Amino acid sequence: MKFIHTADLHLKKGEEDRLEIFGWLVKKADELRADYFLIAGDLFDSDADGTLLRKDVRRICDAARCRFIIIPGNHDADSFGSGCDYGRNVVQLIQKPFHCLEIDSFKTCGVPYQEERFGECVKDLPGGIDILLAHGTVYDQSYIYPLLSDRETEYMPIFPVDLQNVARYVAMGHIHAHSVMLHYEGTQVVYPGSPIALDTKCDGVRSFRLVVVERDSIEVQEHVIENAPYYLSKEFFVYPQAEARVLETIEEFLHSIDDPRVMPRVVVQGYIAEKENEYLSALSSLHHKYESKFPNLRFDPEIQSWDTVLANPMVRNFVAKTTDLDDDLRMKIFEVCLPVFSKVLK
Amino acid sequence: MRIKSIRVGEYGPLRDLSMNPGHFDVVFGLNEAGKTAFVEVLGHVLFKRSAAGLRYGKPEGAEVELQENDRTCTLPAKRLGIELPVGDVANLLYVQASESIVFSDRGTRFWDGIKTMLSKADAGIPFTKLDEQIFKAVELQPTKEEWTRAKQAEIDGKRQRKEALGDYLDKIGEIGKKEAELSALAVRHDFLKKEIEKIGHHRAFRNYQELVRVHHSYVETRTVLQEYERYKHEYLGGWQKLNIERAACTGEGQKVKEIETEVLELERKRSRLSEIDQYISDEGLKQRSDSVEAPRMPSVVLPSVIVLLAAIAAAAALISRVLFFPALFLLAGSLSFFGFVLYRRRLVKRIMMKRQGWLEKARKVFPEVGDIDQLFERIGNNQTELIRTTASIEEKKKIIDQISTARAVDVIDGEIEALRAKTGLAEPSDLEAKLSEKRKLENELADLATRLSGLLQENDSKKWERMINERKVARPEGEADLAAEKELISERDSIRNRIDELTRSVKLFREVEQARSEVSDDRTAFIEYDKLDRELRNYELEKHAALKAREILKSMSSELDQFIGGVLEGEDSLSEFIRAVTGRYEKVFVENENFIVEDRSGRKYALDDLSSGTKDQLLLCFRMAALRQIYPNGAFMILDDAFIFADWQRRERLAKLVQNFVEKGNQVIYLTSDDHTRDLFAGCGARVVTLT
Repeated sequence: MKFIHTADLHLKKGEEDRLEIFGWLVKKADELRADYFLIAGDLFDSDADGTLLRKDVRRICDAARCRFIIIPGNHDADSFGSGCDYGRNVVQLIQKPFHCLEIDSFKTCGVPYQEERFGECVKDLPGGIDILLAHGTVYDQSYIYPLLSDRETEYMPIFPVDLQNVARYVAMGHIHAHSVMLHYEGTQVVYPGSPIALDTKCDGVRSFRLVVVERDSIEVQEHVIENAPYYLSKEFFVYPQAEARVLETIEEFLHSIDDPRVMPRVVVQGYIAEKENEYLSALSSLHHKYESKFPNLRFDPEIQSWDTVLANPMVRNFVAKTTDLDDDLRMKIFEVCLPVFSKVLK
Repeated sequence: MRIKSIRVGEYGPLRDLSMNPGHFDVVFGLNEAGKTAFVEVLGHVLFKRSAAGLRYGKPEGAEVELQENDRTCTLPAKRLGIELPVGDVANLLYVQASESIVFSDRGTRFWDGIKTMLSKADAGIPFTKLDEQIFKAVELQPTKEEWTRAKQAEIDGKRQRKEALGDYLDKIGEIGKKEAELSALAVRHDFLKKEIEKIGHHRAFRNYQELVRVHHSYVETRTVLQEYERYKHEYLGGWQKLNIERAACTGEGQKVKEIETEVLELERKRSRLSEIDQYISDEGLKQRSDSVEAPRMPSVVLPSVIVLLAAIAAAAALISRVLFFPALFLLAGSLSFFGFVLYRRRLVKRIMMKRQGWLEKARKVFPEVGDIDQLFERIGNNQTELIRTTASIEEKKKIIDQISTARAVDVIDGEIEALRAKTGLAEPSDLEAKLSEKRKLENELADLATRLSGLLQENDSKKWERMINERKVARPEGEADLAAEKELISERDSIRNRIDELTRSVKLFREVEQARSEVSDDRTAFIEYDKLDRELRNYELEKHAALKAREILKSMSSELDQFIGGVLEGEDSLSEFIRAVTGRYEKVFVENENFIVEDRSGRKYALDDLSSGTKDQLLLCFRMAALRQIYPNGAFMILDDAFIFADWQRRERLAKLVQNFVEKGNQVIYLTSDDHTRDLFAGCGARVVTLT
């Protein structure tokens, strides 16, 4: 059994590029001769979008050679059901707490999004499941912490113990930013990440998973979505006496990008000896110069101007002596020392 | 680097001052001529000193043109082509009168003062103070390089909290699973409970129905039984008697005759039996036969053999003359035994002849008898038959007597009619059937009463109906599998036990562990753990940053130490200059971060042991030596009445030193209000510029 695994397309009326990428993915599935196309939740951005775009999705699915297996996510929980026609090619796994089918002699189950703990949803799940689709947040300490600020992680908490031996391959959805691969005692858990750069957290090339399941093996391949724009965040640390050089580095970075899919996000952090408005103006000029080159270009400056204290030669000497330190330590030294210098060296 | 030109528009007493300094100028001005204003303008423009402290505000239109090699720049300017003489060396270029007073007034250590002068363009702040402030900002102890007690307590608290949360987070997965199981079991338990209740309801209803049914049967049977009250056993007996009586009365004469015939026949039979019995009695057959048992005829073969053997033995003894008497005695004994056997044979023969005689007599009445035993049986049968015949005769005679004493038929019929009226039945057989039914009903009623008293636990039948009503149960809806009740109860109890076990475990975790960890919910725990982790890492980074800052400040301080050390000895060194100025001190060196001056006799003087004037001269010499090191191609120096506290001899030596400094490619502008000093410098080749 060969299938494509993706999730979180968040198709939305007015965001036609998302539908285009969906169409591209479906064609790709046929090219790769995939038997099935798994969507682990949030096909639509909202139930209203589900209603508006259902006919388009049906058209794409009807034209496909492969079949589709879909579970509802938290954004489109009510967009599926017997009253929602997605064409002959689509299998909706909508029964709660779980919905099991035997597909090509492989036991396949879906856990549609529901306001329950995952553990409660799968308590009566039969054994010997090959593929499980679910939409929620796996609270694994290896990757979860940077994502906790996102309130989306409140939905359907899943703990590693819930996934141990639950199935051979768990096709997850809900984490947009990037792909995540986890292993729990005989269970391979994969978040493919959103195939579309929904926000700046969706950093890096967008991809999907091609999975080949045999009786005694599972092969998972990551495939890049060739036409999906993606954010490429780069942090630049600016220091006193290096302001101009950092501007040059930023320009070099922007100049060097020749992938038309890239949506650069330039984060400028640090401390400057120049006036803040002058430096921001210089950044703005750079933005203006390159904005037409990319589908989207963002500048996020987080700089502090310490022009007064950095006029002091001793401080400048001090700053110069930090040049060889790594950025984190250097930033922290400035964070600690510049206010002290400012206060003491009036 | 040198000052090419100085322009001052209007500043205090100065009006359109324009000056193109040469290599060596002395600016002379009496009091209030604008000398200090001139110094203020230079300080502001050259060294970027704040205008806030200036007496006449910001000097507008003031310009200073600097030249370094072939490059020039005019100050003030935003971007400069040459590096300004500020910072490390700015204080070297401008010398006030009595620098030593400046340092001692600020209360700082001399050495720190020197370093401050070398390191900053502003107020004298030693590195140690900066270092202290940085440590204070991150709450580190400067001496131990450890956290302050309060900060350490905070970090320890956060670390412990993080560990507790870590433990909690490690456990929540397991607890989550238990909670899920608990939730599933609770659902199953509720289902089973309802099923069992439903079965209980069905059972209660069924019991109630059974009670109602049994009671209904009881009442019904009792009612039916009341109708059978008219059927009584005494009626049946009386009725049967009446029927017999009537039968007798209704002239069963024929029957009487038949009975009389039967009686006659029986009497004849009795007479014959009596005759036989009399004959037997008369002949004494019974007694005789009873008294003599049939004897057995003894054999003569054995006694004959014995006599023969004894005779042979006696003959042998006689011949052999051995044991003759015993043999003779044995022979006599055997002969006696033979004689006794013959006697017994004769006696038996006589008895047998007697018994044969009795049998022959008996055959007169019992010709078919074959032996004595048959005779005894026949005698017994005859007697039994006689008694039975006699009894039968008596009975039949009684009947005949009764019939002969019977009442009138119509009276009997009247009584029978009365019984029919009482029972509503036609015949005794009907009554008998009814009585049988009645007995059956009575048994049924007793059974029902026993069941009811058992079910209700009450023997008083009057209370039964009320009690049943009190136990009324509404008809349940749907069906229930009553047979599954035991299995369901067993499963429910098993689930209950597991629920109790899980509840204890989860409760322990949620109430104790969660309370101990002060966690409101799992996600909050994750967030708090992450926050603490970041805070603790930030503390470590802050500590690292503070220590690194200290390291940098120390290296900066050390560089100054090295620089000062390089200034002390050799050509154009501090030692050379102080020797030239004082003519007394030979050498200057550093000990414990302080200048030590040694005279020609080798006597050493600490800086504090020197006079203010000598301290000033030492500092001036240090500046000139430092500038020689920093700007080997030459620099400018502005001296603001710097020799005012020097005696005349040293002032002359200082002037010579400055002249020599100028000759080595440096530029000096000396400001003074003292005409002797002006002339002294003029004598050393300085150009005089007079402020008016």
